[in-house]
Amino acid sequence: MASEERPLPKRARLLQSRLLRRIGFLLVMTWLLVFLTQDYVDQLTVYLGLKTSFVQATLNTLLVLSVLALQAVWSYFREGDLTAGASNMVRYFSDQLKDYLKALRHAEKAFDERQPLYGVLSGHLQRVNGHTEGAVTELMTHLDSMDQEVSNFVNLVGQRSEETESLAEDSKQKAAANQKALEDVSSLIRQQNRQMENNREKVLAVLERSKSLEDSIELIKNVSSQTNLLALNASIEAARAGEHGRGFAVVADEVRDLSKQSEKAAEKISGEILQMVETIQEQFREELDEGLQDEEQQMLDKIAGQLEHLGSGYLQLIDQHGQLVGEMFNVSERFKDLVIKALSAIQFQDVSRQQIEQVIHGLECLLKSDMAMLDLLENPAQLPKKELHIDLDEYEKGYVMQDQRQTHKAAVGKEAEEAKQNQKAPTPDIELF
Amino acid sequence: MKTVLLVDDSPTILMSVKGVLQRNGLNVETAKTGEEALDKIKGGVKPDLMITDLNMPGINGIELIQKARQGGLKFTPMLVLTTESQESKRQEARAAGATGWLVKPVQGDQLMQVIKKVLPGA
Repeated sequence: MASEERPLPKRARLLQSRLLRRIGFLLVMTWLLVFLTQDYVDQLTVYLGLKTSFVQATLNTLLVLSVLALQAVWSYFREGDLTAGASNMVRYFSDQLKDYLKALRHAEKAFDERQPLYGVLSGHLQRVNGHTEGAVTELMTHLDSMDQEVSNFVNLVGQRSEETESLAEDSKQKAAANQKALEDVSSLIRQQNRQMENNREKVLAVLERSKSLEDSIELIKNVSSQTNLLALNASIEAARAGEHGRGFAVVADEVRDLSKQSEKAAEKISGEILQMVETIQEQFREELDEGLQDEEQQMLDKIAGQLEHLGSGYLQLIDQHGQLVGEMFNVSERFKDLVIKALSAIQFQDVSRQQIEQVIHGLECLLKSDMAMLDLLENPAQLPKKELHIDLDEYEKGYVMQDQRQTHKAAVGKEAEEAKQNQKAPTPDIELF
Repeated sequence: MKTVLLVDDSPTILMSVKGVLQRNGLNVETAKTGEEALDKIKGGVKPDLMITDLNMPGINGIELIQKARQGGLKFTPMLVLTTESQESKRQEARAAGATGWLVKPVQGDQLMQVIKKVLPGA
């Protein structure tokens, strides 16, 4: 079509070119003016007595128009067509828009795919909390049972120990009583031995005196023999006297007979005394034996010593038993302390639970933001929902411990703020008001 | 035997702290929420000491202390056992009538030292 148009005369083309150059110059100047006045919108507004937004919009419109006009002038000089630049620009933006829409479709699909993942992650974290809590509860139950078993055992040992101590005390008293009885018996035996010794000495004295009777009997025998001899002489002298000495002879015979009887009686008494001494000696032989008495005394002392040894051994056993029970109590106390420490340490689970709950809350915020983004992509003309933008400051308010706040500030690059806060006196973990 | 009312929504804390207190010769009543604790107080439980968490569903620890103070535990010592360490929260608890503040986790012997200070004879 352009080749069929009649070409302009040379002068006309010259004028057209000069005009376009001037328009171009004016546009450049306009653009420069607009650009330079951007920083002075407020002053311009006051000077013109108009609204700031109106002045700003006017300046922006002028800027855009000047750029478009400049582009048209440039297109004319370059390609001889005023609309070539605009066409290129439209084509460029059209291509850009197509790419953008393509990217949006990908983004939409990606957001769509991410939604269940948030649920999955949240579910996993909740499961972790559940498992940890379950495991900790089970652990504490076992600890509790162990402690209960040890306490029961120690109570049982304590109870048995009291019974044993009672028995020991009873046995101790019995042993002491036995020892006392034995000492009494020993004393009685010693007393009896002394009595026996006295008796023995008396018996020996009697026996000695019995032996001394033999001399008296011998004297009787001697007197009897002399009497017999005297009676015999008297009989001889009576026979010499004849009839006158007959009566005297009878008396002499009677005297001889009496002397014989006296001798017989003395012998009989001597025999009886000897027999009596032998009988006494035979009867007291064992009892009067001093060696036997010593042996009995030694045996009694030995039994007393053994009983004393048995008693002291028993007391030692009781003492060792007491030490063992005491050590068991000590072990039990140490075990109780360990259980208390373990129970205290288990509080970490509550701390972790609250941290995980805050992470779950963060995932929920991300999910809501994604949902709002999807909503916006599907309905671009609508205003975006407030959940689209995640308010980290608001999220930070949900923290329940200093550790969370420190982690947050380190992650978002606010270490300096955190360091400033840390310069304040630290609050103690335990405080009484 | 002294009685302690322990309030926390975490079963772990209830078991842990209850175990520590019982092994130190204290009787322990537990409640999982502030509401349950108030019900127990209304029902006749008269603890010698109350230990409560701060962040709980429903009535929080500070509200519980306020309500318990009005509901018959005017002079009972009350301790807050929480993961929170913010000074502003401490001041709130103090104004509400709390006796002391302990940050979790707390060792058993440290807990007992505090209890013996606020509850002589424990």
